[in-house]
Amino acid sequence: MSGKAPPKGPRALLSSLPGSSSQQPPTSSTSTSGSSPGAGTSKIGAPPPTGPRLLNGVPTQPRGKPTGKPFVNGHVGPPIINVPTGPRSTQKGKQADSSLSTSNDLSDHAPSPPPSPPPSEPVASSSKPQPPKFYSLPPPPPWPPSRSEYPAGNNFKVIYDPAIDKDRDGRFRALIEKVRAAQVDGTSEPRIKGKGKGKETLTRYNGQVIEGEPEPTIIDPRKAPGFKKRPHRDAFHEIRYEYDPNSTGPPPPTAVLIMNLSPLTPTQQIRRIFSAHGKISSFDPQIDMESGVALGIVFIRYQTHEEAKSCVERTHGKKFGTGMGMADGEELKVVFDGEGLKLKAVRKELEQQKHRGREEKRRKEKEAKVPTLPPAPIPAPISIPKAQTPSSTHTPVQPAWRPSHQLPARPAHIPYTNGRLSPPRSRRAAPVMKAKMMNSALSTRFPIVNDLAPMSSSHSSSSTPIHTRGRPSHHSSTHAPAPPSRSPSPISRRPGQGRHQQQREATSATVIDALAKNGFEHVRIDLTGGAMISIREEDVRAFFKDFKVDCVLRDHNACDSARRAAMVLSSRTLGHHSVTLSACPPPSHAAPVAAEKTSWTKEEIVQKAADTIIKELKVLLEKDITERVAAADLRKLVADEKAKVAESKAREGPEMVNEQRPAEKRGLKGLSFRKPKRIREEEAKTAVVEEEAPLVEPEEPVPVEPPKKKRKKDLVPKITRVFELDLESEDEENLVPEPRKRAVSEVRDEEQEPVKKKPKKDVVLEDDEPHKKALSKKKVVKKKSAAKVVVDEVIRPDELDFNVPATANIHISNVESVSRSPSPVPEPPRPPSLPPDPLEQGICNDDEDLYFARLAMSDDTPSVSHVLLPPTETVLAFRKHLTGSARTEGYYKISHTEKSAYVAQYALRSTNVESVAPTEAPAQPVTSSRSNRANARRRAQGLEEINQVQRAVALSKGETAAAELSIKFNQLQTRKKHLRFARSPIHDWGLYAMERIARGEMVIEYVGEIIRAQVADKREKVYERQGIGSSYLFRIDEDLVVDATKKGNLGRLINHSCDPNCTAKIITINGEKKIVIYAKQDIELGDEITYDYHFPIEQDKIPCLCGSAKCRGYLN
Amino acid sequence: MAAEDNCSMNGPNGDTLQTDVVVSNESSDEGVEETTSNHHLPNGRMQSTPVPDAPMPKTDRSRPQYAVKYILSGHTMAISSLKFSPDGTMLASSAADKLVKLWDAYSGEILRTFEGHTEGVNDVAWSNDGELLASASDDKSVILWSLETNSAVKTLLGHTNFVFCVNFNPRSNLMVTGGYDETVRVWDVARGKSLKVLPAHSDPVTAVSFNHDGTLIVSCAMDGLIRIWDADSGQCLKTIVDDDNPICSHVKFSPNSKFILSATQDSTIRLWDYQKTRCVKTYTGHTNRTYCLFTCFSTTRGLYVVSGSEDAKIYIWDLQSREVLQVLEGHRDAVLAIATHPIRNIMASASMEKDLTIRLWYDE
Repeated sequence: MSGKAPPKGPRALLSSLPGSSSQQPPTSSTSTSGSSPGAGTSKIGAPPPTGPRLLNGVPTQPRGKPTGKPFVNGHVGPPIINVPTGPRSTQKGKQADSSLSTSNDLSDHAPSPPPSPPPSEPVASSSKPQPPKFYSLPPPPPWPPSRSEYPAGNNFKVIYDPAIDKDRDGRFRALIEKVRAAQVDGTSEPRIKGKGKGKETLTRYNGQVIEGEPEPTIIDPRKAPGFKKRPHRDAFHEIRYEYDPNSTGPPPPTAVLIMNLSPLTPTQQIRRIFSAHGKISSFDPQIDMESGVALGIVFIRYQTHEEAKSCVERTHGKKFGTGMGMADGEELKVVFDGEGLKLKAVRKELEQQKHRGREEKRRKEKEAKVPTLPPAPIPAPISIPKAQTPSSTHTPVQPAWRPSHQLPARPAHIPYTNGRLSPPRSRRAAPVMKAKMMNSALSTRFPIVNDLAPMSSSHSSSSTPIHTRGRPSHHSSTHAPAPPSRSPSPISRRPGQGRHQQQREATSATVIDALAKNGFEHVRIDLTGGAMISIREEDVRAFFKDFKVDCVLRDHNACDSARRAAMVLSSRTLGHHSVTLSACPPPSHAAPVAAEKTSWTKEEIVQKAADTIIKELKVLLEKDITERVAAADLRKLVADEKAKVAESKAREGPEMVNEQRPAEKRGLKGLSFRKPKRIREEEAKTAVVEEEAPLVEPEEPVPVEPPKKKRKKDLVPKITRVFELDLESEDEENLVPEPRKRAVSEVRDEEQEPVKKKPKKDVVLEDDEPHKKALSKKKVVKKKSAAKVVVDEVIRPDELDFNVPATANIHISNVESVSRSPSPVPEPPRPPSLPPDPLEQGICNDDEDLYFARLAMSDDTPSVSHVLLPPTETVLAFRKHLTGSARTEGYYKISHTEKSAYVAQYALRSTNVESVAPTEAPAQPVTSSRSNRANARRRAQGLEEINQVQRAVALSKGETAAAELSIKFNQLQTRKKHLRFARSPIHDWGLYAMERIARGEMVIEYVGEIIRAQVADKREKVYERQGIGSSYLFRIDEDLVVDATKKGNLGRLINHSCDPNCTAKIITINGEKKIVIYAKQDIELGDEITYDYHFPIEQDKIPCLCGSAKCRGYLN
Repeated sequence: MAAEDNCSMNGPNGDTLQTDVVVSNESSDEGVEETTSNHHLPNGRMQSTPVPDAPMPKTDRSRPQYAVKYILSGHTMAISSLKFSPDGTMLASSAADKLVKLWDAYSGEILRTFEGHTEGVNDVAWSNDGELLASASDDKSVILWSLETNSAVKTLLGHTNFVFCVNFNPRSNLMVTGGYDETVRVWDVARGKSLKVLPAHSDPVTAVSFNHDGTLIVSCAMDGLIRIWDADSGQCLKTIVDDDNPICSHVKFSPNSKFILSATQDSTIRLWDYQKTRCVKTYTGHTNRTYCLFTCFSTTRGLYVVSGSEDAKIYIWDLQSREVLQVLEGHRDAVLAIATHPIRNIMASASMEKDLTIRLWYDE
């Protein structure tokens, strides 16, 4: 075995490892002789005796993992092993191996398990008795062809290759000669290959040497000086794979679903806010397909998971102030939604809710026909036990809910987003639905929050604060004993239902009772089904934020709110929803009767009601008189005070400006009747807050204070307007026979509230005291924060306008209440005392003058600041250079989104048309070079088209039928109309005329792929499935349709209108039918181009939002 | 000591100045720092003995031998731009510290500081009569400063983002500015109104300049385009674009307005024959990868092209042969701004945060 001298390097090493190659042959030979007759000749897959094979063998064992192991270790292994091992001994390496190295190798390997088990031991144990057992076992899996990193075959080393090596001293030459001489026998593989003298390569196989050849030395690399042992691992490596196409499971989500946005937030603003976290690759604000109103749900897809993650991390649960466009500082709900599943779930649930709501409504209508006393305790079908109490008990159960149930807890205000796919809707239910929607749209959005939370376990904790938040301070006056459950899930409701049936009735009784005691008109909102649960008091309050809501009562199946009823105009449009509310006369007197003595007749009730009303009116009249008469006196009284204040203010100079401003504003508003009172209220509030914090009285008057929603910006004008209009509106809206003075009623409200509320609270809220305390504390905090916010706002110079947020008032009143009116609470109940603080009142009245005076005086200050300080909010959008200036900052990449903040044409892209359209003309000079180019291109294209058309016309001269039209077409085409597309109020995008277009002129051709009707049907479905909401299919005739979805021109963007300014005509040019849009009337610059789609009447109605007077309501 | 002394000097010491070689340290406060061996004569003039180891061989007068004479410090943040007044007596500097400062070009003393910008200033320009100074700032405004009244006369608002560059036309009745809002704006100086808004580029405009007769405007931007505009109509007459479209740092007309000199952030300065849209000369050797460095012609001593470099040196090329004639070292940070004196062999350079000095280089 001299030839077995292992070659250098690892192979040698390995070969020596398992028990040196010299040991193997004997063992194997013994077995071979017996078991495998063919082995000698075929050398089945026999690995070379030396290292590499062994090397292969050892690591490859695990490959056969499931089955391989048993075979090897058990009895089965040996026979098979024998096969490969056998040849080694018999064959003298080379031949076997050389032949082996070809295909045989693989094929023969197949059936055999690892060829290289530890040689001696298995063989010894297994030799004879094993074979039968082997057959009893399932056949071994095909041995994977050994994919060795070493070539199958002989172990060799190229000692000399003339192409690479240089044989300087002729040593190799000599060696080759020697080897050649030694090899004459020719039995083994030629060690010398190649032709021509000096061009042969010299190879050594299996470490064979001939005498005179230098012996290869064995080196163990592990013993080499620099060898470092790998440190032992004490733990498994955690393997993390980057997501790639081969990964299992969904990719890391790049999309987020944002909910609880105010539906009134402009899309662009949302976009801007959320683009702060990364590039938005798709932005999909969900809208109500029925009404087109935003749902406050936005689906944003970022480009990377990291961006989405940061978005979720940073915005989830955040509250955005009104400055950010969020209503009421709702907490945003931002969740990952990689595949849009949650979005779908939300939508689905909304649909269901809507459906449910409709059914409920229908049922109700039926029931309503049965004469019932106002809010009689009707056993609500499925609805809403006292949904409140169960909620708390359910909370732990939440995780068990199926996400699809929880997710959708969305209030009913989210209807189907995809109108086309939506189930048939009944129009009848709409008004009610709308009211509902409105309610929730304004503020009910956290139900979802709650229910969504458990979905992602990581957020579950966050749901708790939301729950607690569910009862903001200002509404603590009501009876709700526990945070109402907003879960629409029937599961959550059911358990409570039976148990609380009685309680429910009791509740409704108390409600009626409360109404009776209150004595005011109340507004009843019909809320049915799931919607009802999801609406909480604060939502209702938010909805009525512009009015002073006395209290919100919850019935078992309805939310009854007693409010300053007159305020409620039956259909107010807010966010495109018309809200239908019925203002009911104070059921107060009917209600108690109903509750106690059901035998009363209607007449009696009416009589009683009339009495009370008259009584009330008397009081009101009294107050009115006192107010009007006494107020004048009072004003006179404080006139000198006023002057004093004005002087002092003037003296105080510029540093007063900040403080002054609110006062001025208030003063302006002070002209409205309401104003001062509100201020006083605010003072009262703040004062109370101050007292409250230490005392924590269970029954403070605070909760009674009207909700602080008054702070809304638009509040003041609205109120004043209402005040002016109140006479008529009340007449129209109310069942109260005599008109009442609005202001008076307010005043009365205010005074009586405390008195009236207390008992009510006692009734309803007894169990709730600790909660309330907490609430009141919270309120304190809240107010303080509000005040802080106000300070910020006050400083801003651009709020000098008259439309100041009422928040400013809070600020000033805060200051003043501290300084001048120490305790507004013990105010006498007389209305004339409304201006509680004469000083203040004085300021108010006089402030208009003062305001203007100050404005005049401080004229230069603002102007200077204006010159030097460009508007602050825009600055926010810009990068702040760390080095101080742009030039010293060096180059940095500016993303497109950033650019859109300041480059007009980028911004124009996404701005809403309503605002853009009129300003477009002046903005036009600022067109980018790019758009210039684009225009030029378009023009060129247009010319080309003209040429084509002309050619076509020339060709079609013979055709008489189309001749005139085509000529017309041609002529009109010669001048390309300047059109542009922009956002449209009707639907997504619209086309606008950028020049006057005379009647009868061609506007544009509707270009697209011409396809057969069948194809169109198919495509329509496909598009629907893909979520392409808009239809760009235009039927030419029976069997042809123009599809502009993927290929088309601007013509496809033209929207439908029931009173269009264009018509679409189908004309034939050269036998080809074309759709051409002609102006039906003169179109002015900036007008949106519309035509009537003439959709066929269908069951599934598509609502029309064209807004024209002649609107049919639906497209089809 | 030197700093205060020089500051207290009154009046320019004009043509009597000797050559100085500087081995100077930083001065912390505002003022000019002189070189080591100065003697101040009673008349306020300054005399200094040349330092033996002058960097340049004295014999070779064919090459420029600029050497530092004054080191002016006073800005507290990176200096963004330097301009000599048309008569050469003053040097205006603008910096990221929101200030514009005026220096005496011959004595190095500080003359004036203009405050008013609310953000860093990016560029400064002189009107041709030396009466007005315009400064473009990150606060999106351009302020016109009157040297007569020493105050801001006009604030030009209109840019919707940082204003990056500004220049007057030769008659100084018009002003052109460019900025990050990607527009070039032409202003009526007298009325302070914007006359034209050229939707010039698709990236921040980095340089704008009139030609010698005020009929053309050249602008360049980070989109790598150089555009030539008709100053009257606002039409784009020509667009010059290099093959690989590198970010363009600076562009200006040659004194005869037959060529434009453009610096790009591939560390190359090119001289273009804009009539034929042909690059006639290419100057390399400096480093320009990040910042919008200024590039100047120097015509007082020979025809040179001068540019700062991000390796803190200043390179002087021969206009014709394109070889680097002199490399001025001394700054310790990228040399962003450079200006050449209209009459004398003076150059001013300014560096960024790590240095914050303005150096006046004389070759006399």
